[in-house]
Amino acid sequence: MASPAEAPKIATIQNDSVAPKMPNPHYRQQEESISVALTHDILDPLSIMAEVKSPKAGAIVLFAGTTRDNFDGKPVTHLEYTSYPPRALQTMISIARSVKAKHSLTAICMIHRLGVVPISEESILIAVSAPHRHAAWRGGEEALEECKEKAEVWKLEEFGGEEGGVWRANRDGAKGVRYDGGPEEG
Amino acid sequence: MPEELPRPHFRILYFASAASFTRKPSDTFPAPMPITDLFGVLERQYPGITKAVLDSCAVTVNLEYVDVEEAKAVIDVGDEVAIIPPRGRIGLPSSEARVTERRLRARRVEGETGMEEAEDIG
Repeated sequence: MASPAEAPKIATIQNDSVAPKMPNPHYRQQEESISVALTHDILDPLSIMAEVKSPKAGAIVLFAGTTRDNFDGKPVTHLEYTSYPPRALQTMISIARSVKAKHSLTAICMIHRLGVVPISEESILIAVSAPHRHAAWRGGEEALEECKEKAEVWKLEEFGGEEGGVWRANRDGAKGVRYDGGPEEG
Repeated sequence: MPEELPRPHFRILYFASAASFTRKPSDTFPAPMPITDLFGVLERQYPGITKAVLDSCAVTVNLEYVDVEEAKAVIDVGDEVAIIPPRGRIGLPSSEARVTERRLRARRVEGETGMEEAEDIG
């Protein structure tokens, strides 16, 4: 197991596929103890945890949001996320600053995956560190909720079959808009 | 003026439901354009888009949220405009969504994130 100091930075995470491929766009913005990113690559929980680790922090909370195989019982074959990257990064870093200040976090890192995300893979990782666990729990939850509510990232659920895809508010339980732009039935 | 010269324009980006409606990721339109004309121009190009999409959307100009009813604001040559569909607010009746979006937009224009006041309206 690599020590935290040797863990790869998120910017360098690569799929371990052997075939060379065009590098996917990767967007990242960071400042002291804050890092936010959007990537088409597979997300790596260990490296995001390593980013927030600190001798001052007694707690790290890591949230991993994974893609679900159904919406209200309807089978979902895969999900696709699209974004306005420069705007989304601004929103995410603003959320990170606010949450870090409000909960006196030691560090915070948020990364959202873009493009097609197969079922049961991670679409978002949020890691926060704090001196004590209560602040880390609360800060992590608030960062997630804010990110889902405000970051300019949209989720398309592909149902397969004739129904096609639905642009879903990137939030549990909200109704969506059909891919053709019409309102979703029911 | 020779016809070959590119006309001054701005670029507009569509995301999610907006891109689905226009069936393309972006357009260019002549600039300058008063921001209050934007939705009308889009409606002429894409009939029905106002009710189906724009009513619940926010708008950014050069990454900053703007109020499309702000009479003095003008989109300039070279600006990047974007139609931003709701994230956490799809599914509300459109009038309510619009009011909510406008409120959030106003907060954003003031440079706040509105964290403490965030409402659970999903």
